[in-house]
Amino acid sequence: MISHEIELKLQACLDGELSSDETRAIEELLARDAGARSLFEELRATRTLLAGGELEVKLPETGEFYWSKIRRQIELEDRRSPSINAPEPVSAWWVRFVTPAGALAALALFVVVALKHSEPPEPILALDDSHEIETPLEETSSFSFRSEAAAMTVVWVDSHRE
Amino acid sequence: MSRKLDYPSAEDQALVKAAQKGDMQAYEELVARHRDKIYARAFSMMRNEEEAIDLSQEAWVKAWQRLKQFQGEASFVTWMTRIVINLCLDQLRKQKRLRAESIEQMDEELGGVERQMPIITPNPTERLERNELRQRIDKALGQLSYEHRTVLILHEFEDLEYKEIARRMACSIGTVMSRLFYARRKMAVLLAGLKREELR
Amino acid sequence: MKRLVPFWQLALAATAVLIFYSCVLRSAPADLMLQAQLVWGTNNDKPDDPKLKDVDQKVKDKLRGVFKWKNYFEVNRQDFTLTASAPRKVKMSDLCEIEVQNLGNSSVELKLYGKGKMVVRKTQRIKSGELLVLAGDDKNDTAWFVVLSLVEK
Repeated sequence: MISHEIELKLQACLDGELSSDETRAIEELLARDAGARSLFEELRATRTLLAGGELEVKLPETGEFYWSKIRRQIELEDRRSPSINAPEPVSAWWVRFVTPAGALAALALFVVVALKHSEPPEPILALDDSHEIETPLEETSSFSFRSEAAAMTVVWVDSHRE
Repeated sequence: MSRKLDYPSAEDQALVKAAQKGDMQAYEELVARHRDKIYARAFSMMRNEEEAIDLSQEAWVKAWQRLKQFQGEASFVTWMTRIVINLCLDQLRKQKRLRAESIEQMDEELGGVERQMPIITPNPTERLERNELRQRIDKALGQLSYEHRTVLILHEFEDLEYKEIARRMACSIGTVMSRLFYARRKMAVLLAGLKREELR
Repeated sequence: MKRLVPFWQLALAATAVLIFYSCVLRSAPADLMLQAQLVWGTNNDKPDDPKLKDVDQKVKDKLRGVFKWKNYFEVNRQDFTLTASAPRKVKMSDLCEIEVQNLGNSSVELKLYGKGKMVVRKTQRIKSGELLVLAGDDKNDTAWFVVLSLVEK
């Protein structure tokens, strides 16, 4: 019967973790010892079975929900302490041009709206968390997301339990 | 002239570069592409859906924070996998799941258990449907202790060397070798449809 | 011979009447017929309370499509009409109550109260076939959902 130390060396040989000297010694053992050969074959067969044998598992919730929680946490962390990956504004260079153009557009819009005084103002319900959702309790927070596929708007309420 | 990135068809490298500059949409595309794989790795280690979701999300958040450190030395998904593995290992250590596995661990330390198992000669003519085999492997993995399962996953599925596994699991190379040996022998028994009890 | 009213004056008068009525109609929000359901999501095959039944298939399919739980049981359902006059309180369970207000233009403000305290407030436009859902974790890896929708005629 081979020792446990040799059993582990057989395994290490299979995994390519031995030096060339040690590998040679194990090969010699395999040539003369049937018990060692059987064990080596069992280990090799198991390794072969496991190779590419991992079950494919899919995320059990929608991508939108999953991403919304990640995004929220990133934003929370960024507010707490700007990360070393603090994003540089992608579009900084064109803001200089957009700002005056935007001001002109806003002025034009104001004029048009003022002229349309016979029409009642339409309530603005843009999806803006700042006024659309309120979570007053300290021990809770919430975030909102929308699933177009399910035609559903969700507000998820997190209670912070220790 | 700025080039707008076509996110769905952009390569990971391009998305990473854009995300490193703060492009959240590029990062969202990376998450969409690799979320299943990262979740799957967390699930295989934790064997709990809720924990796997939480830890995989934490991994994505951490990756965003460290994105500038990613220099492309490995593929993005490999780098992400390492992050989630480390988080899972931290969590497993925190949970201190040793009590339920102490008997197995004692056996392992005594070097006794796997030596009682007869050599399993796999039937070369038995061909299992690939998916059926994967199901059986997954079921068998669920029957291992977390330490044995972890070392098997890191070696067989993540192709890490003994030294690297030892570093990540904060144990000696000898312990890695013993655990891997035990895990493989137990898997051989489980996959052959035999239970340990039947062998005593 | 009678002088005919010039066409442009008739058109102006008609436009003025139309604008007047559209203003009047807009200023009075239409009543909304709503349904609120309290739903419990779980991976258990049977609910803890044997009296609970599966939520209707349409809602179940939508919730399943977004959330990870396998089964969804209806704890309570309330149908009510929401006029523009005042917010309406609807008791969903011993611990949970909602208050809904009609803001006009198919918009509602939904407040959720737990143990008497307001937990969350949400403003949302609500269209036929759509759901507004407030949700959160419950113990033992289950979840609660308050589902608000327009009653289909």
